[in-house]
Amino acid sequence: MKRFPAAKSLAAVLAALMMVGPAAGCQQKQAPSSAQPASQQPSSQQAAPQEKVKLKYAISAKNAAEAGQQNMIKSINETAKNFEIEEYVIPGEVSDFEQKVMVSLMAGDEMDFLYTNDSNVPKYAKANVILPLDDLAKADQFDIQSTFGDSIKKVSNRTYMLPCTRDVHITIYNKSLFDKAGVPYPDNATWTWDKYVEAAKKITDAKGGIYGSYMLDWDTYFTFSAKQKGVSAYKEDGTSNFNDPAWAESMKFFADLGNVLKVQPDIVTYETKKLQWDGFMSGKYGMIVIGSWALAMLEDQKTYPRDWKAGIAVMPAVEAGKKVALSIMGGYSACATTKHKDETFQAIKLLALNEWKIPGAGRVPAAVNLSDADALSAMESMSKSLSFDGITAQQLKDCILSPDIKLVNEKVVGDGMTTINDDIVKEGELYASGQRTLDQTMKELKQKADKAISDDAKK
Amino acid sequence: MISLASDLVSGNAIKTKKKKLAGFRLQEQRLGYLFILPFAVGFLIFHATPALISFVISVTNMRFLSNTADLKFIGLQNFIEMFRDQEVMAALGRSFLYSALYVPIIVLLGLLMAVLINCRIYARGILRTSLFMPYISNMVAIAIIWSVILDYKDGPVNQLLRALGCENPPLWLMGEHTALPTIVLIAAWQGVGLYMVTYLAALQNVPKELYEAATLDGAGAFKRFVHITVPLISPTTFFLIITAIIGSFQNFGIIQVLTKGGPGEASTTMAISVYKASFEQYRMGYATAQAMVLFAIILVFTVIQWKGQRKWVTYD
Repeated sequence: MKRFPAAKSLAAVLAALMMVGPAAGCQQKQAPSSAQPASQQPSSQQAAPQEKVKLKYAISAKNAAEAGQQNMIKSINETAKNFEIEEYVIPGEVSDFEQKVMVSLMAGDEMDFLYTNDSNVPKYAKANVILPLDDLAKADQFDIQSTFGDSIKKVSNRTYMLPCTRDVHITIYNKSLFDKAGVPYPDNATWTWDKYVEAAKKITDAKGGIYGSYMLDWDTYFTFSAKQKGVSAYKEDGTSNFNDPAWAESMKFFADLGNVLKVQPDIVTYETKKLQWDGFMSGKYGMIVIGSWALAMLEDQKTYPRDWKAGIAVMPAVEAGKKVALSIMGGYSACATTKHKDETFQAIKLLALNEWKIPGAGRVPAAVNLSDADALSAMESMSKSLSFDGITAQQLKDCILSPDIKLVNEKVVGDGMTTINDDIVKEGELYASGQRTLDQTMKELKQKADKAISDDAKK
Repeated sequence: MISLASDLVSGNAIKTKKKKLAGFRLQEQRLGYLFILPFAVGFLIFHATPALISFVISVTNMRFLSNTADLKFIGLQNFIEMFRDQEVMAALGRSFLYSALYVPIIVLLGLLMAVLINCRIYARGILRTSLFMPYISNMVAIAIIWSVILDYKDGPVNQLLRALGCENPPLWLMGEHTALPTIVLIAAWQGVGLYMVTYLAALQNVPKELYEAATLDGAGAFKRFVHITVPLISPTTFFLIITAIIGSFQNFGIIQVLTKGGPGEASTTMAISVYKASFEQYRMGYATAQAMVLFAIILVFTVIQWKGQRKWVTYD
């Protein structure tokens, strides 16, 4: 009888522990940070004035670790009087990062701003996870339109992103492999896809594991020539335009580079060997056509130590003399979960206007009211960090900021775009691996794209 | 008088005893409820409530969680659309195919391995541990290893096939027709450890006297297995089949890591379809409708199994 009270107490304590235990395991929401950026040095933070608002900048782990990013944040924090930018690292890169940011914002995670691009803005705006900036700009007496002009892409007649960087596809080439093969370096005036293939064939030495070309399995590569020809992915009636022969030609050209011409790893090799997006830096590939953001690889000798030098040229043209390059506009948007709207707008305005001036940031300005001197100055900043390769500011300006180059969006943008860009890769892979004919592939792609468009239009 | 008093005393004593027993049972009951309270609260908060919310979302046109301005009740429209959607129906078909391949492979393989391990063989302990290791391994590590093994050009499997005269070995994870069966095999390889260990415990609980008696009666190994082992481990088999069926429909992790539903839609099952509808197309209402249907299918299978167990499961 005497044991019961003790057993009862013990049972009550155990039950209480079991209930409290899971609750004790829950933590407060905190930044899922990985790398500690250099900008967060304890000694420099101790003297920070109390009234400075801390702004959370949603960023991927890889970008957070880049020296250019860290310089940029440090510079802005030194200049800003009423706010301080803190990196809020979200796991994942590129599309994984975009997805996680979207889900975090939908779930109500507090973030102040993020770097995005004009193809993601419509989706974020529709989901109400980013704020329209027009009222904030008006309150700040900042004229967005005259500063950024056509760089602004509005959604429902509202501005959601302050563009800060223009990313343009260029050709990066390995000078050592060109020299070894006796191939002259690309000439911007005459650089076409035919010349690209010609050069790639001469450089390729399959037995030695050297290829003349390197391309990734991203949707842009399956569709670049169609986009360069200016063929829209949408018809006027709103359905997809993938039955236009230009899309099939583009798909075939990309697949043939690996399967028929054998100047680059074919898609089966690429996927099964898990080749990486930065594989060009191994020194085994003659050329890569990629966004100018990838110049950061050339700057980073620590991650990519090399003894060979690189050169740059414009994106190969479909027709000689008609330079058309894939492009995307990057910029900053204010998150809907921010609790500091005014400070956030100040931060993204500062970044949009000044980021290109910061050494090592490696970004090309989007502002239209830049003088020629300013534009060259922006390129000089990049050129300094590319001094190992001897790439000059003029060369950068010719490949990225030249008015001769017509820019087209690298992504399909419109209804159903996420699914369509995804399906381009899936169907493209089936065709490039020889499991589907070209006709079957384009028919499937058209059907799926039409469905994605109609699904997106449903309310 | 004395006898009356003693009767009274003994009657009271019996009543008191009964009261105390009742009180004791009540205490025990309360204690029992107290012990299951944490689980019940956790179940309500983390399972029942989200399931109810999912059902509510499935009958709305919700797209983004953060934008409910145009949210409205649409009844069964999501479900109707789902059954008319060829891609979703194809994903459902692939889910059934996955299950039809996975369940027999993992259950039979688990039983076979358990029977072999149950024999007196050299290094039985080490063998058992190493066969269990894939079960506790990280999914990403497994994906990397199998990508290397099944590499189309340089992987050992295809090199062996080419050496044996096969000019066009399969693309395995990259093949439209081979991706799903390959994933099933990898998933079975990963999960079979648990089935083996569970069957091993069941085999070791079969009374040895039954085998001895059967041997004395002239029964061979096969007959002993069919007429003694199989019936006596049938409760374990029943449990493992239900677990395997449920697990086979919850195949998101392994497919996402190995192929992300590709190539094309070749390995897109319902779990992947729900993910895509939620986090790529941002059609939350439609995605939860698919999830509800998946839940209903698993429930139906489980009920059928439960009702059918009377016919083939032998309990002591």
